Amino acid sequence: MKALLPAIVLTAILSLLTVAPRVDSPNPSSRALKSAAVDAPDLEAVAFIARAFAAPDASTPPDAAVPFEITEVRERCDHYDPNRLPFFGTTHLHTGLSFDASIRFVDYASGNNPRGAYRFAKGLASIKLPDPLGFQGPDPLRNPRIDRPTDWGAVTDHSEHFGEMGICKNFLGKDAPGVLSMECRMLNGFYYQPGTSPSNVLNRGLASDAFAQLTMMNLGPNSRNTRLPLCVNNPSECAASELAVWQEMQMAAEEEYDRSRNCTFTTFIGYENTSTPAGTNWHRNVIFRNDRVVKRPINALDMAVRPNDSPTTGGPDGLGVPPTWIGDVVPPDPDVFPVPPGTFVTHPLPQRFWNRLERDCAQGANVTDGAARRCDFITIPHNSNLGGGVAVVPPLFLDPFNKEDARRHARFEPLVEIYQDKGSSECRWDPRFKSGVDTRDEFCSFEILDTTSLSSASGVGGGGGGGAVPPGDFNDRAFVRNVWKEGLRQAQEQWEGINPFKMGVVASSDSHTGVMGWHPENQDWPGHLGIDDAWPMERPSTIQNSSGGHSVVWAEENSRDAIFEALKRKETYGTSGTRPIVRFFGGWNFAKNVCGTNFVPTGYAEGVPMGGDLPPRPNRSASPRFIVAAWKDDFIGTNLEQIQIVKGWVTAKGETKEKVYRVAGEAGNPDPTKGVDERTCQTKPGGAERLCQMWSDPDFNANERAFYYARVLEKPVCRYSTLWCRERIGVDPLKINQCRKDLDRMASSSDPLLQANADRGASCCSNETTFPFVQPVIQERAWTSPIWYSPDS
Amino acid sequence: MDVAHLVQPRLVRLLRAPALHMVVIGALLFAGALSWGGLPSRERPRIVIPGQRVEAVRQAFLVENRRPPTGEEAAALLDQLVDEEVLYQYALRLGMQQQPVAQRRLAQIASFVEANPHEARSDQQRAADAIDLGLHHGDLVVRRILIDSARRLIRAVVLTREPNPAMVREYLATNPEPFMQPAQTRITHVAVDGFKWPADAKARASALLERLRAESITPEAAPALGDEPFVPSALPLMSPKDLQTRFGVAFERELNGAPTGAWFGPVPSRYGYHVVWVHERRDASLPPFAGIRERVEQRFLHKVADEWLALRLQQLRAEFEIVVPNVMP
Repeated sequence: MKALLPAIVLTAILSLLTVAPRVDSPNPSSRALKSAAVDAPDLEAVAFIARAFAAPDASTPPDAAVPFEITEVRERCDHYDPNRLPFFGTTHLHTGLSFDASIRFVDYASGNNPRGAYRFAKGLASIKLPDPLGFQGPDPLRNPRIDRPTDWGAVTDHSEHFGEMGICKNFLGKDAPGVLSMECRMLNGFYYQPGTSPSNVLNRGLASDAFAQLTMMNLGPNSRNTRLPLCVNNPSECAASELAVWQEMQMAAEEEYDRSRNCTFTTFIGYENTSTPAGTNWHRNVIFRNDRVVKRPINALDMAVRPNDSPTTGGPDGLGVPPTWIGDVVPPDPDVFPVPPGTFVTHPLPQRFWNRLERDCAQGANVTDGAARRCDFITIPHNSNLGGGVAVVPPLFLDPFNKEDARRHARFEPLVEIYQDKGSSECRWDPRFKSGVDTRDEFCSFEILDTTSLSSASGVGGGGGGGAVPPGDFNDRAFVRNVWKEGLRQAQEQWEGINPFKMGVVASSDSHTGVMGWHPENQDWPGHLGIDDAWPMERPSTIQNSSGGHSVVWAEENSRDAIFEALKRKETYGTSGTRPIVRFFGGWNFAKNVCGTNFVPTGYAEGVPMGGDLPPRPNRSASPRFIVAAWKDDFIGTNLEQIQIVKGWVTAKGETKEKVYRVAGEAGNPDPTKGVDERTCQTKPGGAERLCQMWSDPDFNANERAFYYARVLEKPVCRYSTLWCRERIGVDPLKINQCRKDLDRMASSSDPLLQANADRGASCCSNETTFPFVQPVIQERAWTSPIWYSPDS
Repeated sequence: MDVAHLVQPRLVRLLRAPALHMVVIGALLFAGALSWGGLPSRERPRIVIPGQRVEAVRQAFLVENRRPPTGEEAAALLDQLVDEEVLYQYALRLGMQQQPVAQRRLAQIASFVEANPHEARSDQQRAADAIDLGLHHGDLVVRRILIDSARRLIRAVVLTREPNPAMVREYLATNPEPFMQPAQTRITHVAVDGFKWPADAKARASALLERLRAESITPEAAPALGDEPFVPSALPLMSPKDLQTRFGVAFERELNGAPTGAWFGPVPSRYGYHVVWVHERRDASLPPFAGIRERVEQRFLHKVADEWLALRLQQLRAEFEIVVPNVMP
């Protein structure tokens, strides 16, 4: 067969002529991928598909029948009521997507994420928390389920670390650059493995150090702050992962928002700006009105007086320009408006934060696509009790630079979070010193902390051990009541009537556990910080964490537009964890016997609700009249004790004053310890299921600017720490001397379980005389937004 | 019979030529090779999952779950790696690296390795350079962009279609839960205000109940005999949650014991006590299709898109020769 070999050669030559195309040649009709044509494989098709998912026509004119602006297309709710309904929600919550939840083993991969938090709040699912050793185990205590769903909420994870978290949580894949970086090791708890060496003090110290390292360069400095090296060195990856994390938060909110007529739950997209200059809490949450949000969150890094253009080059050693904590000169830059360029400041600039949000969101410069018509936002500061200023850094509520600045403060920041897990910021009275911070109100001893700064309050593995802090050590502006008074003073003395601190009230938790809307005041409360307070009584700082509260809005329906507008007009109140219903109206002509009628339409028609400004004074003899009513939470069942109206005003000389009036109920006792049965912790009989009063200010002076807000106090109940110490540790804080003896006995016992419990409950035996300060018996309460009076109107 | 006599002598010479024999045998061989399922040169492109990548995924599992993956879990992890690689290769074939976002990234990484990074070149030129150098294969951001784009494109084939109405209805029939209307109750209530009658609201409500029953007073007339209510007297159908928001938890709970079409009470609420007439109760039900059609279609399309994606991945896998290491236990 001498023809065979040449035939084979010929075959080979023929085959070479039909070789498959190159791997990356864009030849969709290649027979190597015969099914490719099925997917319409060209860019025109891709563009078409993008258009198909583009926003539907959002030019529907507003519905004239509803009093709020409609920015999103959805069905109106079946329960719509023009006299408004109370909806309980959350304005502040963290999940495993927050860096400081992650380092405490709150685990994104185990479902502790925004979607998980929303489903928890809706009562659809439990959520997983780490046990004290960091394991995501099956213990029911660490897999809680809500007992009573809430109505709305925003997950607000820390935006500064979205990039790092995205990389470290594998949003770019498990082999993305940086997944094995030091930052990711810290965020994923690599160096601190309590399960492998539970009592290892060195490991715990490493965890503390991790927190400091993760925040030192970006959250603390006031100028030239810089991202973590992971992101400085991989800017594109960080940008992509930041986007991916932010998109996940948006998607979770979109998927869990009930747009049907049932309106069972409303979600809001949001995040937390975590500016912490020199350890002062300058944190603010951003809440967006609808699905149009900024493409990139504006965060603490954007607030630097001067941005850091050279994080890796230049500077004294050529290794980059370091951040500064001392101060810097404000550069000429449109973003700093209205701060005068050339001013030397010792703090970051919230003006940059608001300006960029305004530009990117409200003015639409960098806003996401979405179904809604336009972007809108508010910012809500919290923890002024830890934001009183440290060293050269002024308080969270710092002086505006000028009148325009004062106006913008008031415009972008209509609310303040008056209470959360890290204590109450309403006011402070310390019975140990028998004095307060610019107050003599003894009911201000509720959930006060023994620290002035955020660092020790949230110290990982330690902190809060410094002893009792005298009231004189606090800046007046650490407390919202004082800030409100200061606002009146500035309106009168400085800004020609503009009050920069005219904020309504919300309350929340700030729990870093994904537990949204659940604040049990008992031994089931799962703590605030993952493994750090899985045993809340272990340390002074952790026993002072409290169970958090609700934000309540009065809105026509449970939808984004209705609730957001309620937040903006401040028709809101906050609670310390229970769900009393509170109404508060201010006017001039309310009838004396208005309680006993449905006063709500009258309140709206002839006056203003909570958060409003009193209408102009009708005649020279009129005094303002207020209707205040509260109905108890009939699920928890604690009766109400009293309603107070707190008035603050400024005199003609510019002095600020305050007074507390009890307007309904019984006088009670600022030390509520005797209000419960010592043996059972049951509330003693008494109190009322509901309270109502029409009250007129007996000390009214028409020339003095003033605010009035309502504070509703329930009858006393045992604090969660008391129930925990009794049920789970075996000591009784209500009998303090016996408590200490029992704890000592346990600590020196040979039984390892008793010893362990003594460690876990080391701070149990605390009360109003000790350090740390803990009220073993508390009075749950609600605070309404103020109603303001001004002589000008 | 001698064939040679039947043809021209020149033709015979031609037929005997070895060259012709070569061509014929070659053609027969060629035809034979084709009939066996394609030429050796048309072999499937290869996907190789490096052992290192598999091991990294296994390690990540170990860290997250503090135990090694079971056989099933390991297989699922490997599957995921293969799917991603298939999608990546597919995206390349479709030319998805031409998308602006990928081009920008490619231009950026090209500038790292260029001889003259400051030379003025367009993004497209730089991106082309990056592809020529094969930089896109190693860059994880480009990889992620391409994988996501391919996934979205495949799903979009379903999502942009009009769904088959019969299939949508069948989907609803088998998955009604997300669309269910909760149970609803329609009531009229007569209020006895706890503020107005702090001491004896309950007794007053009981007395009112007696009177309404004795005099057979209608639900339309009855509210006038009570106090001004905080909640409107005649209410539309309301879910349990809405009743709790309006009246409180105790009211909604007690209402469960009320008969339909008769006066019942006294029922406590945060506002006091009420005498209640239940007009109708509706069990949790599916609303009329017209009202929920869009939502059902959306969910249905997404479900089908996921199934389509899984099917396409299977098809695409078949077009590759996939090489995986024997590492997973």
